[in-house]
Amino acid sequence: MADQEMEIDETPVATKSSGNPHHEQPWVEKYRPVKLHDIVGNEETISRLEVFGRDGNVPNVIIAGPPGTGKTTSILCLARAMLGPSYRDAVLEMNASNDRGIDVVRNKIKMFAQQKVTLPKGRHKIIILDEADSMTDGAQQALRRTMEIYSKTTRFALACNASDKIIEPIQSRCAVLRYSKLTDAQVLKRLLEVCEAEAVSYTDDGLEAIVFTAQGDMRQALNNLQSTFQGFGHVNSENVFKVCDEPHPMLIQDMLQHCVNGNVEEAYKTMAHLWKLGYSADDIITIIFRVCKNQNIPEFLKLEFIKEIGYTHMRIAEGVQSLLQMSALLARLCKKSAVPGIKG
Amino acid sequence: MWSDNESSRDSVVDLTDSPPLKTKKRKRDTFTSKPVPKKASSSQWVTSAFGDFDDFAGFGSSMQPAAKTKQSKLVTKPLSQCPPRTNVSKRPSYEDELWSDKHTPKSVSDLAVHKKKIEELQTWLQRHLNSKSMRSPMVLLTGPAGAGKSALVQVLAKELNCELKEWSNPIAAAYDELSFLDRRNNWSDYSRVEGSYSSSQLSQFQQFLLRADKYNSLDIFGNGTQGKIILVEEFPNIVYKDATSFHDILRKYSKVGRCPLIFIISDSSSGESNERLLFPKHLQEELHIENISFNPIAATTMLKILTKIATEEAAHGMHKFSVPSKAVIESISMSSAGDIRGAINALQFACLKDTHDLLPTTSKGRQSKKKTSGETSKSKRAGNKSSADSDSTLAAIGGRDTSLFLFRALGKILYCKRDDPSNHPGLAKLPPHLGEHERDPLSLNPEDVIEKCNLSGDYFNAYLHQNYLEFFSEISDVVRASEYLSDSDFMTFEWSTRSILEEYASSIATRGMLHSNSSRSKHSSTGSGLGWKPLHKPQWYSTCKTERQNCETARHLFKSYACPPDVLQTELVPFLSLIDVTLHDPGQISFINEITKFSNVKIRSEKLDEKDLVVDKDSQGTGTSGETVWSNKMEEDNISNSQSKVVTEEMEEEEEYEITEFDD
Repeated sequence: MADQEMEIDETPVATKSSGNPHHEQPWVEKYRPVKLHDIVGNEETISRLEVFGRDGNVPNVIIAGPPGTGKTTSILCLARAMLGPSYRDAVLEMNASNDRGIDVVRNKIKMFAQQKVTLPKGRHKIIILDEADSMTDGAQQALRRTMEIYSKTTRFALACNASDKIIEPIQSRCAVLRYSKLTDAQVLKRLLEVCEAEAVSYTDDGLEAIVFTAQGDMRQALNNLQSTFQGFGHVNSENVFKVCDEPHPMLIQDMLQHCVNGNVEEAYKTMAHLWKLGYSADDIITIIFRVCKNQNIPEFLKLEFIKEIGYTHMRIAEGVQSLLQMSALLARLCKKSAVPGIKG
Repeated sequence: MWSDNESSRDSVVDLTDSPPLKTKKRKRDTFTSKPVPKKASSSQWVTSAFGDFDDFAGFGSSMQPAAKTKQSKLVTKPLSQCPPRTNVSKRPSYEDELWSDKHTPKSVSDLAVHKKKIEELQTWLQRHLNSKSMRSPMVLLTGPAGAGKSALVQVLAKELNCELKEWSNPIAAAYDELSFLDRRNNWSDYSRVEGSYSSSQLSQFQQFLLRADKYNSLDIFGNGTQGKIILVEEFPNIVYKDATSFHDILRKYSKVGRCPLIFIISDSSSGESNERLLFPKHLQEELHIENISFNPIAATTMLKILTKIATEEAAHGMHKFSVPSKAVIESISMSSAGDIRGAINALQFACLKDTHDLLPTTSKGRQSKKKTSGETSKSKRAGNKSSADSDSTLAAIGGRDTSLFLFRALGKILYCKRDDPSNHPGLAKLPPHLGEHERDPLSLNPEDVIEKCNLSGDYFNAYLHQNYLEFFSEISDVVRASEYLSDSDFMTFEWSTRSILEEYASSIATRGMLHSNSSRSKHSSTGSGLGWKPLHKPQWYSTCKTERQNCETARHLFKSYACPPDVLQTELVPFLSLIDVTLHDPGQISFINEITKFSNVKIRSEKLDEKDLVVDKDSQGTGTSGETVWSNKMEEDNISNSQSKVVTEEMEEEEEYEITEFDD
């Protein structure tokens, strides 16, 4: 119980000290929004949450969406906006790191729901269950009556990645809100704000690289920005990919273009280079897929490429992480566009 | 309605356990919130009040309203003394309840459940409340979540003037005052005789059943009730692991119990159903448990109720908002897939956006107010079916797996729109020998489509697989498309790597589908040929479910043969039917008939389509898996053989057919 309270406390304190020049805190925490309207993306949903934050009586909600889109942050902001000073007493936050078996749902959550906390009218205690999709079915089953019985005093806010892992009776008792990935522009805008606040020196391609590596995940973007900045003092694309330890997408793009042209020697040179740099097969294949999806390749070849990359990824995932597999991939890719009948 | 609540709330505020006032509103009293002895509750109240006081001390400004509230609580001041927060006098200044609670049906006429089902349960209750039969009556209500099962029971109990006793799982905590009280309220066996506090949940459950059956609760309020109904909606957790002991309890109860026992299980479309585990067929027959299964709420009914709630809230609720346009309500009701509770929750969320009278307390409030009014016009525009933007907006708030958006996404993939290549200057071309695979550029990004429909790739592929055939005209195209589908299926085959490869799988399936359809390779060919085609839900899941059920039944019926289920189904049962053995078990006879005789019944598949949704939901709900249709047909064919089928079951099926016509 005690450490949960600490967890909760941390965030508001963190944001208050944003004027502090020290770099001790992760920027993710330092720039975690405190007010709902500061949250980037998903404006439709968030503006509605704002209304609840002002007036209370929030229904039970499930927020589903990919990581780094502000699910937990919006729940925390909502709770803070609604409960104000009684936040400490009226919020129970649990995530996957807490024990959340069926006993906890039956005992701890029920106990908290039964507790009396004096709140202004129309306000309710909030139980935040982060990463709710990792809860067992049994625990979720036990939750559903609790949700109903105590709805007079307690509301639930669940955050999860996949809403289909939440059992239907629970979904039915909640308003399901779906967050979508942030667009590159949204991530970029926030990055620029942070860069300004922290006086980061950056180049445009550096930020572009960060946006590329983040893939719509704000948390990742901020982490990458901070580590690049603290590691190198300057944010350009070279440094970003060094820090993130990802093969440079430009290299991959060239490599794929060679494959499209059927030039296996050139393509292999890139691959061998990447391999020598020490990237694992897993790293390389992930970036290949990501680049391939967005590259300008004829539709048929793109489809076939994705298929082959998929099969190679499958072998890699099963443990065959060798340069041979990667070379075989290149060979197969080159074959796709090669004129049939000519050997070699 | 409001004035009544208002007065009571003023004095209660948020005293969690002061049930007399609460129970007045909500008849169903769960045992955990039963009146606690005076002393305990008052002492609780005092301590927590002080605790709060400490916390508030640090916050000068925000303390004001809270302190006032407390005062009004102590002295029970009249309404006028409440913190004056409202500008609009008639509207309540705060809201305390969920809409789905506030608008629980109060009478039979409010219910969204189909009339037939109401009657069915009502007659059953009436028949058993007064009968003096030796068997204790039990009924099992099943249906998807939010179909109104619990609401129906509560309304009927009220209507018949019965007391509803409900089991709720006790808190298994260490012995302290709270749990002590709890235990007593749970009818658990904190008994002096045994001298032990802790007892298994199961025995507590048993005690609950027996005591609830035997003793009436104290008649404090003088509203004498006619009878009792026991409701079990939450099952003791242990039951899922050890179903047989649960069955023993039921058997015991059926010998001694007198008052009707209602079980509610909400079934899920995926995964194992608890129904089969807790109430296997043989137990249902043995104890004569009737089974009433509910369908998802029909879209028309849902629409009516949602509109009613919206108008009511707009007129009397906390916020003033223009009643959402019909299209908005329609899409909410559709996306909820027959789940009324979910729909109401979504409605509450959706309506809030349209608030005009938000008190502009701060500049920020004003700012967002402007935003909201902008949105209002937008959501009004949602009436136009063509505006794709509002779709995604509502999808974000929407209910469960949203068929409407899915419909759009599927259409996009299957109809495969292409752009004029002249609009895309930098387009890469295929080498000449692959000319047959050249396509005009796609007007959409397949990965975006998948991401927007909020479904797992797996599920989306199942939909594609169900529907793709209709859209192809060349057999060679079908070959290629099915090859890609099989590729993508194979990738997600391995459990351990599924999460990584899921993205590839959906990418390959959709892209393969788009590309292999050669009749739509040019942007100009999109309009020609294909007209509107209905889309169907994948049969895969229901077929799997039926298969599992059949295996289970087969194993149970032919226990003595000791074969694995597939051997039973493919070898033993067909032979048995051919060699004409005399079977004595009526269950075996009907099962053999069902399995081995193929009739040319067309298995209907669920349509997925905007317009027919109303009709469709109902006809499907009744026929769900092909099996029901199937067995029904069988019944007509071989009535002589399958006398074994319980009469009630037959009745039910016939009724369901009537419903189909009823709603057309």
